[in-house]
Amino acid sequence: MLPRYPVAPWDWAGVTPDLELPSAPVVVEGVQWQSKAAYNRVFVRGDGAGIVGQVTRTGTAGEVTAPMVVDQLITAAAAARQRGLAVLGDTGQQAAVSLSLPVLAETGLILPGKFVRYVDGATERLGLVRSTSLAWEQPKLRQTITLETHI
Amino acid sequence: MATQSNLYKAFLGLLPQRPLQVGTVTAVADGLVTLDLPGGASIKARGTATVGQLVFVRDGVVEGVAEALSIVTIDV
Repeated sequence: MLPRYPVAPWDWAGVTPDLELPSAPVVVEGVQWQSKAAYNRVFVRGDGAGIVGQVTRTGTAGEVTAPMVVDQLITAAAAARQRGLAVLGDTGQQAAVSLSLPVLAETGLILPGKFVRYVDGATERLGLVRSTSLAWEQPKLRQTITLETHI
Repeated sequence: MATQSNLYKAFLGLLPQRPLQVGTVTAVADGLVTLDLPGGASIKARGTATVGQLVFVRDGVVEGVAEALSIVTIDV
């Protein structure tokens, strides 16, 4: 099982990407902009038993509270932390970027959960792979990956 | 359009969310229960409860009594 966010999005500056894609083989297929509420605190709660986790984004006052999450699986602090991070990470300005590139021996299939850095014009951006699809059109095998990026 | 996000999920995203929440009852009057949610919000819901109780609430209806659980403070 993969964590929704191996590293919190606000700490991505310090992440070493799993893959660095040069601009040449990569085609940007589409960008979907998303603006989500800037929550910085969420209460996650067990159902029946467990704990209440008051999860706050580090460095914030926690004054913008997301709707509470109630789940039977939240029985320990580790679970509350992961669930809270999944809620707090999916906030703010985001772009879902679709990249199309050949399946190369160097990269192989790029699977969800990997950090990828790609070149977008003059800037380099870091994103987390959220989906992968393959298309085989003889003689080309291409993959399309969708990255979650935070701006 | 080959790489658009899951259409069914996009459709579900258009519908209002009905999260299950837990609040502390602060007042009961005329079949309406006033609840304080953690985080400071205050909502009203239909149903029966007594002042001071911790109750589950979803979509404006009290669903039942919740247990008091210990609070853990986590920074992420």
